[in-house]
Amino acid sequence: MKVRVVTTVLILALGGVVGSAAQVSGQAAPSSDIESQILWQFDTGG
Amino acid sequence: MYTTPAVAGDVVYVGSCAGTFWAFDTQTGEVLWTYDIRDAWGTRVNFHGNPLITDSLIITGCDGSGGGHIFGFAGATGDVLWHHSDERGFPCDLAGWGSNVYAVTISDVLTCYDVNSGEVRWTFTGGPVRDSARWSGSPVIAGRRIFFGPRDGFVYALDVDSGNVIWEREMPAPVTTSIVVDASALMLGTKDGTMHRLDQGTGEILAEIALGARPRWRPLLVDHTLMVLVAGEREIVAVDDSLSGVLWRRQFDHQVMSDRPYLWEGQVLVGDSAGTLWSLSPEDGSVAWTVKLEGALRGIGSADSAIIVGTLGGMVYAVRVR
Repeated sequence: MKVRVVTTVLILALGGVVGSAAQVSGQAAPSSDIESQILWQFDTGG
Repeated sequence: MYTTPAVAGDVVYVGSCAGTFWAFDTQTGEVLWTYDIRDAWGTRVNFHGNPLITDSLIITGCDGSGGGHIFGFAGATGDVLWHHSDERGFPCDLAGWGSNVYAVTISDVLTCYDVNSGEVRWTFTGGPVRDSARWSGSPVIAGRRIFFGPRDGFVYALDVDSGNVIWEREMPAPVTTSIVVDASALMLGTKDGTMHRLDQGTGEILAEIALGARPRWRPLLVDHTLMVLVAGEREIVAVDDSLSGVLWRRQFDHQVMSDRPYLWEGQVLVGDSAGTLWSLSPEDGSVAWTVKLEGALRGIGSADSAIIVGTLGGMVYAVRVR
């Protein structure tokens, strides 16, 4: 699931859909005291 | 990201502190459209107020030292359908009633717009500002009245259609929170560290309770528990809605950066400067769970089963917990 989501976001960023300010960073693994999962993440640049 | 991520169907909208408004697919994070204020207007702005969503539009305000704006965007495309500028802008959460949308400027001018055309229907300006807060709390609507607590030390009840003042109440100190309503009363905090309960019909102060610290930002009412952040943003105080006593207090090691405690599946979510997302019980403030993310957590919302979190640095996370 993580790989699929990250791939989607990367394709969009590289495809120029978003502005130059947008950046995509690596998937951060959340730490928690319950089961949790980052479905997607996106860096808007500010 | 300061505002609460706003969700309509499969789209989540967020405005960034870098001055861009974003529409994401809630499931994938795909960017559907953006609107960059710097590109369009040449000035840097922040999105501090929560937007208003209608069937086809998303209305949002922004503010900045070089000027601010309120936009009526087509929700599907991001096309600007209407727009107004202001000398400083619109930092407060928007409110809606029928075909009206209400916005407050940094100068504490409350304006009612036609939600579809952006036509100005009426404006209201309170007295001189008496508080040093950067902007006032957000107005709220109940019973065909809009309740507004600008920084002049008064609370006003206005007719939603005409803007006529129904009543006004001078408070012991300037209002420092947004206003929360239940079926018959409104609740708000003032600079002297007190929460107040006012009659919606008359403005009469029905009850007060001293918190020992200045209440701030947007309180959250869950059933009969009213929770509010206090100055310093390292403590949430919960009182009963009749303001007869403090129910619990929850201290945090790090500053709570999400200024609007968010109700999600019966739990209260807040985020702190160290990246911890806290889930608290509204009954006693106990911690149900925590999730650690990167960055200072500010705007918190939800879409289906996912929690959407925006950070001070501009990251947006969609997180699932189970």
